[in-house]
Amino acid sequence: MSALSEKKPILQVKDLRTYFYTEDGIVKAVDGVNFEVYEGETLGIVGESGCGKSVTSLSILRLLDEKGKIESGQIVYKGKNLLELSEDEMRKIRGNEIAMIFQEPMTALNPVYTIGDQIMEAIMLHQKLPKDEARKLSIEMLRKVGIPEPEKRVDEYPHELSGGMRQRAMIAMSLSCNPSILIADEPTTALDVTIQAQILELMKQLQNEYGMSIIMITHDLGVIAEVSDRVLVMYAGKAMEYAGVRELFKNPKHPYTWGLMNSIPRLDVEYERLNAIPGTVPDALHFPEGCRFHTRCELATDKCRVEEPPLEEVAPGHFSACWHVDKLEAAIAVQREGESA
Amino acid sequence: MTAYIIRRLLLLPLVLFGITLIVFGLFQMLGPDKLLSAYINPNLAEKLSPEEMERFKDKYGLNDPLIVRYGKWISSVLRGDLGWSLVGKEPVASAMAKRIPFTVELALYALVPVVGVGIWLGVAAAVRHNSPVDHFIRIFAIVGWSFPDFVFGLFVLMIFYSVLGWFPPGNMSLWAEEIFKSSAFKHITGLPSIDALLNGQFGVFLDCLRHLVGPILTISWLWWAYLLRITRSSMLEVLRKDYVRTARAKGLDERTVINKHARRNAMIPVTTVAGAMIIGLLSGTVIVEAVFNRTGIGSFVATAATQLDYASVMGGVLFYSTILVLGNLIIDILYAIIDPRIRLT
Amino acid sequence: MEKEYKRMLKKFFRNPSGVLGLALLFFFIFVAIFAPVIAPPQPSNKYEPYMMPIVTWSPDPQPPSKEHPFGVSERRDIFYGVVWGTRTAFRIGLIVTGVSTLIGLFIGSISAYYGGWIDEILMRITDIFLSIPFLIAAIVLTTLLGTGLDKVMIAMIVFGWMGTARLIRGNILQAKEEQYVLAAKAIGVSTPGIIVKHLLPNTIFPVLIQASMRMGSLVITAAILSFLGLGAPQGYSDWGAILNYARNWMLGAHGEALKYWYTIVFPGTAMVLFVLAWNLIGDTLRDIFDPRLRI
Repeated sequence: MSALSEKKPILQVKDLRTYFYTEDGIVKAVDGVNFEVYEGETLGIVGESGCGKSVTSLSILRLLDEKGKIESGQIVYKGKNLLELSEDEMRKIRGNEIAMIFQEPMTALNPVYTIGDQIMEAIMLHQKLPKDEARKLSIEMLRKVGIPEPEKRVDEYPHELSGGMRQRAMIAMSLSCNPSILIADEPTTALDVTIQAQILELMKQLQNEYGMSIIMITHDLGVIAEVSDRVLVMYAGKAMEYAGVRELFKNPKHPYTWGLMNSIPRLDVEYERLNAIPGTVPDALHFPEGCRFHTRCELATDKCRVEEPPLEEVAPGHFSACWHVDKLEAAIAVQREGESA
Repeated sequence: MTAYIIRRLLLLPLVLFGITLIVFGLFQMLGPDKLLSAYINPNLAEKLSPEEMERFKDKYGLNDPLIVRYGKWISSVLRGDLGWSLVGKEPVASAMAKRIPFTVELALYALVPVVGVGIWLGVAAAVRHNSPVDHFIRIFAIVGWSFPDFVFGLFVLMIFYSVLGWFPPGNMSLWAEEIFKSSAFKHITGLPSIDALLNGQFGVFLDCLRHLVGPILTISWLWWAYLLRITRSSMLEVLRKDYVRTARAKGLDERTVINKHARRNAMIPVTTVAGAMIIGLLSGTVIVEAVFNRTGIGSFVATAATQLDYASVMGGVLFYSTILVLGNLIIDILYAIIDPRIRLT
Repeated sequence: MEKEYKRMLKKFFRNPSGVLGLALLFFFIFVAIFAPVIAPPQPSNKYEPYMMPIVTWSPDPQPPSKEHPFGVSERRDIFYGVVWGTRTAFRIGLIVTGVSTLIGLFIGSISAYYGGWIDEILMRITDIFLSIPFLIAAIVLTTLLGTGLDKVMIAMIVFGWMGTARLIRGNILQAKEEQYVLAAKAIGVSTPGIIVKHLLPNTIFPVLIQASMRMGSLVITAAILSFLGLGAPQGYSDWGAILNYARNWMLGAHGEALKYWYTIVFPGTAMVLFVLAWNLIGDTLRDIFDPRLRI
C-alpha cells in the first residue's frame, strides 16, 4: 500500500453487514465489506445495481429504512464508531461531517420549498448562523457550484431548475457545512452525458478547494476512472476487488472486474460480439453458495461452487477475492496479445 | 393569483346558472297546477275558483314556455324573491335567512375537529407504520367509514343525552332561545354562539355549544375515518421519497423531517379530496339536523322535500351549490399555496 | 393470466380483513336467500312479504321476546324487518351500483375514446352533476318523482355515475397510448370493437374495486333517504325505515334512558355489518391490485 498508505484513513468500514428483513425472507444486501477512505481522496465503489453499493453508503449515515438493519461491523469515523453513537450524536454527523448527494436531483430536493430554504436549513442547523447570514452563505455556495444569477435562483423552487442545475444545487447544499466526507450516490446517472462531465469536473474542483474526501458510488467504470483514487468493486453484497485505480485498470485481479471492463465497447478493437458478462445478478434472497460470482464466471471450478474465496492481498495494496487469480492473469495475457496483434 | 380568484368568482354565477337551469327544468316537468303552490299561500289557494287559478297561473307565467319562465324566476331570485315556502309558512328567502346561521355555525365548528384530528390521526398512523397504534387507527378507520352517520348520531343521542344528559338535541334551550329572540340581543355576526359572546351572554354561548357537541361528533366521526385513511397512505408514500432521505441526511431531527418536509407534501393529495369533503360536510348537516332535531337549512330542505315544497327545495339547492362552488375555489387556492408547482393563472 | 388470478385469490385469502368481509357477505347472502325460512311471512302479509307484519295494536315498542327476538317497533316485528331488509339492501346496492356503473362506463369510454368536443361537453356535464351535493340532488329528484324506494334508486343512479365516468376516462386515456391499442387500430379494428375488446378489459379492475367500495355507501344513502321519510313506504322491510321509527323512541322513557335500545341496535348493527363487509372486500381488492394505495 505504498504511496496511498502514507495518508491517514478518515473513515474505516470493517466487516459491515446490512440485512433487510422482508416478507419473503432476509436479504443480505451487504455481507462483510471492508474499506478505508483517506483524507482528501476519492474512493470509488462500483458494481451493478443490487450489488449493495447504495446500501453501504446509507449504512454509513445510518439512513436505512425500517426493514434494514446493520447486523455487525464497525464504521470508524475519526476514531469513533458511528454505529455506537446515539441518534442525537449521529444527527450532528449527518450533513455536517458527512454529507450525501443522491442520484435523482429531481426527487432528492423537496418540491415545496425553495432551493435557498433547503440550503439554509442545513447551515442554520449545524453552523448556528442567523437567517440573513445563512442566506448570504447559500447564495455564495450556489455561485461556487456555478449556478448563474444565484441571488435569483436562491428563491426558486426545484421544478424551476434544469436537471444539471438541480444537481449543482444539491452539491451546494451538501457542501454548505464544509463536510469532511461527501458521499455521492450515482450523482451523474440521471443526467445528460455533457452535463455528467461538467458535474464530475465541478466535484473534482471543489474537492481541491475544500479538501474533503469523496465516496463515489456508480455503476460506470468510466466515472470511476475519471475521479477515483482507489476502487472497491462489489458484487452481490461482497467486495470482489479493492485496489488503487491505476493498478486496478492495469492489472485487474478478479474475473468480475475484468468482465466489467470488457463490457465497455472500445473503438480500437474489432469485436465479433460485445463481451457482456453472461447471466444476470443473482436473486438477493438466494445468493449462490461458494463464490457468489461463480454462476456467471467463465473460470469457475468446483472449488468456486463450494468454498467462498477470502479477500486477500494478491499484490501490494491490491486485494482480490478469487481462487483463480493466476488463471485470470493468463487469460488476460492471451486476450491482450490478441488485441495487439 | 388575485386575477385567478376574481375570474373564478366571475364564473360562479355561470355555474349557478347551469345548476339552477337543470333543477328548474326538472321542476317544470311537474306541470302548472303543482307549481302554483310555490307562489301563493295555500290557505288562499283553497278559496280560489278554477278561473281565478288560471288567472294566477297567467299572472305568474306558469303557462309560458320554459325559457321565459326561467328568465322570470331568475329575475325574481335576483330581486331576492324565492317564492313562498310551505314548510316555513313565510317567503323562502326569510325562512332560509333564519335557518342558515345554525347550519353555517355547525359546519364551521365541525370543520376544525374534522380536519385537525383527521390529519393528525393519519400522520400518527403513518409515522408508526405497522405498530399497534397504526393497526388500531386502521381498524378505527374502516369501522368508522362503515358506520352510517345517522345511525351513529342516534347512538350519540342515546348515550350522551338519554343516559348521561350532557348534550341535548335542538338548537338551544328554551330559556336561551328567549334571550336570543329578545330585542335586547344584537345580531352582529349572525352566528348564534359568537353573537352570544359578543352580547356578553356567556350562558347562552355555553348552551349553544352544548347543543353542538353531538352533531359535531357525529359529522366528525365519519370524516375522521375518511381523512385519516387518505392522509395515512399519502404520508406513507411521501416518507419513502428521496427528499425525505435528503432531509435526514442533512442531520435534521425526525420531528422536523416529518412536520416540515413530509407533512406538507403529504397534504397535496389530501387537498384534492377536500372537495368531496365539503360535499360530505354539507350532506352531513342535512342528516345531523334531522337526527338532532335542529332547525337549519338542511332539515329545512329535507322537510320541504317530503312535503313536495318546490320553492323551498330550489332555495336550498341554490344555497348548497353556492357553498360548494365557493368551497372548491378555496381548495384550489389552498392547493396552489401548498404546492408551488401549481400556478393559478 | 390464469396463474395471475390464482395468485390474487391466494393473496385475498391470506388477508384477514378480506376473509372477514367475505364471510360477512356470505352470511348476508344466506339470510337474503333464506329469508322466507328464517322469518316466514304471516297470513296477513303472504302476498306482499316485504311488508312487515303488524303484530300488536299497542303503539309502544316491545322488548325482545321469544316470539319477537329483536322486539317490536311501531307495532311491527323488527326481526322480520331486519331479515327481509337484507334483500332490500342487496336489491338497492346491486341495481344502483350496476346501472350507474354501466352509465359511467359508457360516458367515460365515449368521452375518452373520441376526445375533442365530445369529451369537452360530456366532462362539463359531469362537472355540473358533481357540483350538486349528492344527498341534496337525491332529495330534489325524490321530490320530483315522489317518495318511494324505486324513486330513491332512480335518484341515486342519475347522480351516481360521475365517479366511474371520470375513472374510466382517465384509465382509457392512459391505455389509449399503449402499443396494443395502436396496433389494433393499425390493422383496422372498428372503434366500438377497440373499446370493447381492448380498452375496457384493461381498465375494468379499478372500476370493479370502486363499485364494491360504493356498494356500502349507496346502501347508507338509501337508508338516509328512507330515514328522512323519502324512501320506503310505511311498514316496508328496509333498515333505514325501521331506524326512522326509532326516532320517536330513542330518548327512552322517564327514568329508563335505554328502554327502547332494541329499536336502534338491531337494524343499526345489520346495516353497519353489511356496509363493513363491502368496505373490507373493496379495501382488500385495492390492496392486491394497487399495493401503493395500501391503507
